[in-house]
Amino acid sequence: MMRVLLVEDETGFAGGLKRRFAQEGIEVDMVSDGRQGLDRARSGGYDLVLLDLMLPKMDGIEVCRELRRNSEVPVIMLTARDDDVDKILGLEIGADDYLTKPFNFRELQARIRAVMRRARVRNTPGVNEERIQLGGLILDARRRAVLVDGDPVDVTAREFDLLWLLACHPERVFTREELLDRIWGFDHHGDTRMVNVQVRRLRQKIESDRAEPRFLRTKWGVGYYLIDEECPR
Amino acid sequence: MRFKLGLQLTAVFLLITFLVVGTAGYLFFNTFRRRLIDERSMAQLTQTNIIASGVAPLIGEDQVEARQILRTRSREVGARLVFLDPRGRVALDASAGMAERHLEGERLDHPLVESALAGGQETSVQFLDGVGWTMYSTVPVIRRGEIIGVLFVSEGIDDIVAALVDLSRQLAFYLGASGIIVMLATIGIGQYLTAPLGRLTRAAERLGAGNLAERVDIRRRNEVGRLGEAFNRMAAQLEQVDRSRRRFIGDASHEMRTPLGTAKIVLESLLAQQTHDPETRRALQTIEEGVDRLAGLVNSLLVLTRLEHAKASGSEERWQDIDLRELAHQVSADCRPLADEKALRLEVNAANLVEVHGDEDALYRAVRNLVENAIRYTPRDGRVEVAVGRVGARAFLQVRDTGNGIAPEDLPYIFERFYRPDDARSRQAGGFGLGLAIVSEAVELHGGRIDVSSKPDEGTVMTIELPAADVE
Ligand SMILES: Nc1ncnc2c1ncn2[C@@H]1O[C@H](COP(=O)(O)OP(=O)(O)OP(=O)(O)O)[C@@H](O)[C@H]1O
Ligand SMILES: [Mg+2]
Repeated sequence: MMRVLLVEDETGFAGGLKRRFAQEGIEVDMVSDGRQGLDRARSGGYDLVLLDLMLPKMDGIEVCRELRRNSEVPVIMLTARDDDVDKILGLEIGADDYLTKPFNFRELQARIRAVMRRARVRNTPGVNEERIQLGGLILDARRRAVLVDGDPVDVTAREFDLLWLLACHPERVFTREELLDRIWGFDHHGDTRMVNVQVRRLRQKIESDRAEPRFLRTKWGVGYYLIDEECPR
Repeated sequence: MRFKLGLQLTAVFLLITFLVVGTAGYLFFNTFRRRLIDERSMAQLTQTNIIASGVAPLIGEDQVEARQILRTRSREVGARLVFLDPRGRVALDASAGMAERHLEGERLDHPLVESALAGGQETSVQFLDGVGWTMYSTVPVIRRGEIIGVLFVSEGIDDIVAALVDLSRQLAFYLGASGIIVMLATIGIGQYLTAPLGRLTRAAERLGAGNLAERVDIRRRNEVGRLGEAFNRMAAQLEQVDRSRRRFIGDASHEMRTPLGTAKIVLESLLAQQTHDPETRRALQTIEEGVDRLAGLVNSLLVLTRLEHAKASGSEERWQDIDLRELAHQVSADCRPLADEKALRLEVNAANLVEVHGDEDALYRAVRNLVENAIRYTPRDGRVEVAVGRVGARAFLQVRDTGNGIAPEDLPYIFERFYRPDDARSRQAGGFGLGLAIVSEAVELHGGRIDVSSKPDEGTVMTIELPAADVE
């Protein structure tokens, strides 16, 4: 049974969402300010935290950043603003996904499924350290090998790192800035064209049609993500 | 237009220059001429008088001696000397026997002769064919208080004429030179004055066309400089107003999302209950449609203000190399459910790699709006095709449908905000008329063009043209 924590000060919204979850048989705990939200999320046992961006006492960004210090619980940000997407998804804050209000509940469910599956991939003991399989794409960390539908593909070290990072969080969108920071290091700050070039090369190797990538997808206006072919959508 | 003011200035100054220099030159010339002639006539009269008194005693006494004296004097002064008797008949001509034609025995009808017979002494200047400018003077010849004749002198004054011609040449030269100097100076001044005005005009035109970041750089310590400063202040103020307008729309739209989010989720939770009677359910669905519509409006407004902001800031920092083929495939994948609902064939036709450099989100929205329009305005079982290509340095993305088409009278307006043709409004197709405004804003941001051709009931072709990026 999934346990969800909803941190939201807008009581009408929180009530509606709680009831909608209940209709799906999911119990939701609600708190209405940031400080409390952080405490509850830490004291734990939750499978998912839904976090509003604008909260009294402590805003959602700070809650998420604090929470990330010692917790890997999946976090989805709910926000009325979509102009700080970069920040929300960035390394610093570490939210797993975001959704702008108003949204369809169906859309939220899809995001939750993706986030939960990602958490499962990450938490399967032994497997995630060495080998990740996402449908037809297999990454072997020990041999640094990539298989597409069983065929080995030659990739450079950097290309493997990039693929590995994306594969550790399937369906999670990485902004170019974040990829740059994580794969190239901070000294390349701002030169996001390198990410583009790298992605293009990688696609040439693992995709049969670069114009319609099967694995390494673009989230237009945000960044890149690796698709999880097993994830129901 | 740019030279008008300078030309006017030059013309006026040239006119003034010619008037002033010309009048002054004319007056000077006249004075000078009168002086020369007066001096000469004084000299001639004096000389004539001396000759007259020298010759007077011999008249009627010794004609031969008199003629001899006249002849000698004539040679000395370089003038022709003629003595006339009181009836005006030539009695002695100094050149008789030398000139081809002497006048002795002929009558000389000349006003000067009459005035001399009456006791006057006068000179006059005349032009004679074949001889040139000539000065005449007459003096009465008096013996014992009685006028016994007239001494008539005629002398060429070519030297004076030559001096005057020389003077007029010089005057003309000065007039011309000052004209040229004034012309060059005023053209220079005109340039100096009108060049910044020209820059201001062009800046104002660009400002008027929507580029509120337009400023002029006119460093002049005069009225033109002040005009430039005033222009810059005005542009800054306009920009400020525009910025706060954008911020207002942005803030208002964002604020609306929170209550819309609440309404949406509450409605969804209500609709998920099975307990409603059909009427209540229909009512709830109607409300939900309204909420969705409002949410769509808010989204479109936010996209528009974001694009406006990107255009105003002119920053290309976040631009990426974008593969138009991938974009076309992505949009068509995202729109596939819409197309399937109406059993439309949705195809992408993109053989070659075409890349542009631009704002990913903006271009996605543009193409998405075009494809959504094509789907929305094409009846069931129709066809929508997205094609990508490149011609030289221009990249193309074309969306073609077999739909309703757009009436010619609506064509000029469809890119305006909130413009929807009347029939479309009455149809339930239901947008806000912001889609194509977003498209044109996004295309403008990239310095591209959009082209429409449409035939009612046959279909529409929308073509976006963008500067292509060089691949790899
Ligand atoms: N492909 C097309 N075929 C026929 N008519 C079109 C097409 N594209 C646009 N139009 C006409 O142009 C009008 C303006 O289009 P626009 O996309 O700006 O607004 P909308 O589609 O009505 O609303 P919105 O896009 O904001 O939801 C439409 O109402 C429609 O009448
Ligand atoms: Mg539209």
